[in-house]
Amino acid sequence: MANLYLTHRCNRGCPFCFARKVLAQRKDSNEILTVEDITKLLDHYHNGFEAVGLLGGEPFLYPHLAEVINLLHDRHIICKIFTSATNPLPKDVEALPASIEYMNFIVNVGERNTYRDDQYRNLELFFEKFHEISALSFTIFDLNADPTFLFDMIDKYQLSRTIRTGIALPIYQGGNQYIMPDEYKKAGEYFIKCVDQAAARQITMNMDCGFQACMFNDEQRGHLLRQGSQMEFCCGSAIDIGPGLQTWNCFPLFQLGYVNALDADNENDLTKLLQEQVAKEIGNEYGVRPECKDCEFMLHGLCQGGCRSFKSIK
Amino acid sequence: MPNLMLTNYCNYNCSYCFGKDIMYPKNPRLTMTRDCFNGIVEWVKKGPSDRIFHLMGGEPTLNPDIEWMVARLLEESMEITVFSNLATPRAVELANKVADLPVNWVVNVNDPAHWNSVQRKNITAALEVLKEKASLTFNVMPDEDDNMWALEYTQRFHLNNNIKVGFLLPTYNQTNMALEDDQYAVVAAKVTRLAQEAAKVDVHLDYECGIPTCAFTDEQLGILWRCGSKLQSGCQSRLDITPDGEVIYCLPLATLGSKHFSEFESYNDACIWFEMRFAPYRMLGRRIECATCNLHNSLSCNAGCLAKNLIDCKNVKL
Repeated sequence: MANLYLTHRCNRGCPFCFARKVLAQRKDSNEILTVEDITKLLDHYHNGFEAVGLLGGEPFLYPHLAEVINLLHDRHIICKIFTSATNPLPKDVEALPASIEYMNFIVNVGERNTYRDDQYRNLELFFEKFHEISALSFTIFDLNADPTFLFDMIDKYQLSRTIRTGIALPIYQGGNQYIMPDEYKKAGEYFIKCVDQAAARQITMNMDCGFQACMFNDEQRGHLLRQGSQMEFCCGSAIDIGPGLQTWNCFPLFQLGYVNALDADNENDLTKLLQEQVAKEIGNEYGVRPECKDCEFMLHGLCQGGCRSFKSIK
Repeated sequence: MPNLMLTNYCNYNCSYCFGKDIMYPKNPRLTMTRDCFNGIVEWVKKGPSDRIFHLMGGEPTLNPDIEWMVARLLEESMEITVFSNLATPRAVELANKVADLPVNWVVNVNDPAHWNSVQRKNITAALEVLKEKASLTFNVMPDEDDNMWALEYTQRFHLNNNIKVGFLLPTYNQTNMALEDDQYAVVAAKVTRLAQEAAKVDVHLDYECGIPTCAFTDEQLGILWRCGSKLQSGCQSRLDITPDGEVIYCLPLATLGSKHFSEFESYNDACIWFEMRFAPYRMLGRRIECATCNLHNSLSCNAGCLAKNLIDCKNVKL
């Protein structure tokens, strides 16, 4: 899957955001990923993307969002939009059918006290319109935070009963706040508490990249399976393609090198080019802890040893 | 694609066999004819589905036309898996003839301690030629020591390193020996131990249908995952077609109803017909806790074997 990074603009400023460095460097830039470039990209790859993520920054602050959604729909590419949904919904997006064939939304949410009133109202209006094609995304950052608001939101607006759960990851060489490696076991316990509360309300929490198998013991991993969580201990996400078709491996590693999206002939080759770029800086090896190299989970392909951006953290 | 029962006759008479309700000697001995087989192949080709045929029985090598049937499917570029106990002379003969062809074998075996000398000779002779094309499958018994013989045989004969294990499932009419409720945990513990030992020699477990997740503790589920033998709890198989062309949902539920394959437009239509009829019963689950179980509600666990869950339901009609 490829992510189209549409705009640097964002109205939220989450402390754990792993795009924070890009956004900070370019916050005054009017640079956007143009519709012409997106068309060029899709033509070059013969529409060979099964799914495309639209993200930012904040996609609702991108002036051509509806145009891009229609472009992808016309080419039979599934479109997933990552948003905080705290800006007024663009009128032309609101006019699109609330249909999974057109688009679906992953809505990054926080506790009520992280929103201004107008932002929260926009979020509620968004859910009222698009609840059938919206799922929540939540980042583990504060290990004392009460996750109940997530489940209340799902029940109130009848959202998808699956939550995508991230763990706050570092940007390579710093720039945001994140969960320290020595807190991962505690973060694992916190995740299990959240999963149990979710399961009691018939909600499932799945893992985004960056989780590590050794955050949990056998019993905890078995418990997660029983609660229906999809356990994935991977380091690897969709490639990100930004303004000028500049392409990077993922946000935490974005400064390790770029390639132009048109330098490869297919998505696999593009991924390989990016991996080579990253390998020049931090090597080919996965696993961020010294013990990873002898770890049975790594050896058997069950875990990739956490987010590689940790390699810059001393 | 379907499982074709080439015959309802078997050279074994296992007390736990969940095919008992339609097998010989409880029923007349039946053998699938070439005409019936051809009809089914043409019928399957009409609809969209994968190109995999499972040939089973009874003991499928006891159908005198099995070699012709394998050749017929290969002509059609179908993928073939033969489910055999390999204990017949005909199995050894066929194994030798097709060893170099794209035919896989799933070998249903009991603990070798129970084999007689003829069975041992035939099974080992066939395994010697089949090698990685054969994978073992067996039921884990609550009252037998362990199943380490399966690892030994897999290594000794260089068999496929995936072993499929099953729990003893009942037929709807309870005509076979099956696990009692309190034996599920015993068998789950044995499966977990086997998975741990298997992982040490790079062998992994797969699972037959009908195993409920709740038979295992959290720790056991975690161990299975760590060993690369993550539990899959399904109760949904390919449809079976009996030697006379009757489509049934599966062997344990065989007596609940069947229709001749020619009454369905395609294999997919047959699947939909059975699924729609069983769907209301699936929601029953196995235990009261299933009603609030995320795995059950998300269809990641089908609450074990439907035949077991339906035993207490009277007048089930398709």
